[in-house]
Amino acid sequence: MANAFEKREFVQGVSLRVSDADFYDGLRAVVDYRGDCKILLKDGSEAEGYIFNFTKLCVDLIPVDSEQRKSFLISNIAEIIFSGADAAAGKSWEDWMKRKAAQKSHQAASSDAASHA
Amino acid sequence: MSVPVSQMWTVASYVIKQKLMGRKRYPLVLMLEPLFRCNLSCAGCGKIQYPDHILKKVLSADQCLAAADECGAPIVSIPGGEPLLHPEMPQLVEGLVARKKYIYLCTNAILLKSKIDQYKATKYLTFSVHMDGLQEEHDEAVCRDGTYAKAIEGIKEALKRGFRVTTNTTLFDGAKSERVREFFDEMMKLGVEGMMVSPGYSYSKAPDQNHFLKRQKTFKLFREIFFNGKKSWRFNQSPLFIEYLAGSRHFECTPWGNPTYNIFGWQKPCYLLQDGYVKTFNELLETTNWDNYGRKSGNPACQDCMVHCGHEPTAVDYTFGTAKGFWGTVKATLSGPKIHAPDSPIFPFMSKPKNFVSEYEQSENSEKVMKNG
Ligand code: SF4
Ligand code: SF4
Repeated sequence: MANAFEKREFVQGVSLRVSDADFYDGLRAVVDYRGDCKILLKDGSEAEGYIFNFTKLCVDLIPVDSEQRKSFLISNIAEIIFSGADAAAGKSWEDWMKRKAAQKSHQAASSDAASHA
Repeated sequence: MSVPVSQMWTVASYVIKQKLMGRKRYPLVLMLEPLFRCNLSCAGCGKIQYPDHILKKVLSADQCLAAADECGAPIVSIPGGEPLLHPEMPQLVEGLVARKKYIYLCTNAILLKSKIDQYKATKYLTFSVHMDGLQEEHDEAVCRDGTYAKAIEGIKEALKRGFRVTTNTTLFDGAKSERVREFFDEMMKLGVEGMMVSPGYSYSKAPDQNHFLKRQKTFKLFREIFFNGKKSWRFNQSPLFIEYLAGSRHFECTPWGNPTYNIFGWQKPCYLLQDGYVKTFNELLETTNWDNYGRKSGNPACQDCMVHCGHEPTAVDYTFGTAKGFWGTVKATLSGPKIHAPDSPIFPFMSKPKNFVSEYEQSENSEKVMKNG
């Protein structure tokens, strides 16, 4: 559980409990997260999908396996797990530039090797 | 400026009507995102970074038309994702044309040539082609070689068939002004109706936030581009917005000017930020705390933002809502936008932003009570 002095990173696999001190930072991270999340309810049921919205009272989810979007009262939620892969991970401009630079230096090395052969 | 007179007249009369009706907030351009799926995967594009089941979702043509009716904006911009992948795009365009909406269909043009038979050339439809510069810059920005050539092919085909075609360019940190100027020349040679240009924004959800232009850098870049700009260049955007980008004048953001509707609903507050969704356009207008957005609000997410979707509506409102703005636009249209030399120390006055406290922070304590139900 996070304390008031450390900000944890919300990545795949992290679990956010309603009792966590950073629950509301976590909720913000949930809607910013570009992967699916699993909601575990206090009554033992669960739902998995993309959480795109939250208000003071509830979170809104588009289920993985249905068209019917669902809203869950925050007061009924026990835990939210960042369950799915983050679709934004590794897709930054910097990642692309690094790949491009590596590709260029690889090409330069191979043409050097070819000219020395 | 290259916007046709009929479109200008539509926008002008619409703005004047809103003013006469005393509407404080009104939409100018509906940003309609019927899908997020795309056939490219540009680095840092936050629009396509969703799980597969979300990328497979689309708004139907009927849902889109209902949103256009609900919003009432005279212009509808259809970004994405790639709109040409949408199975009902021709029907949607037809429905919008029937409603006399001016449509900017924003496409990377990869599919333009193969799909163009599905569309009819009309003054209401413009293909706004995503072009981030000349071949090297564009292919690099979209992370795929050969895309520039494909887009040029699509543009030529569309022009040959009498469609309105504009280009839409986002400039990121590191853009070279002389290359941008060459790019403008090239697009004019191709014969596009006009160009749109905007600085990139540091999307809170895009990972490449350090990459984007900061305000001061933006002024310098745009001054270098537009200082001694060529008479032959035509732009499909307000000349006052160009003056704003080059730091010749200041505009605050008008986030309600370009409201966004997508598979999640009406997006608060703008095309770039996702501070929640609501079901109706009226709810968006009435429940968004608009004072929390724009540079002067102090909102950290808005501090470096100069993008067109927030600031061009301000320019248009100023043009058609004030005599000074109208005269400034006429002057800038006739003799070109007023641009300071790149090394000029003159910058527009900007008031100090407020100390920002987010709504969430304000109400955090009350929410803490609720979660324990
Ligand atoms: S073409 Fe547009 S929507 Fe598609 S990935 Fe590139 S920036 Fe995103
Ligand atoms: S300044 Fe306006 S357009 Fe830019 S992020 Fe803020 S609200 Fe959105």
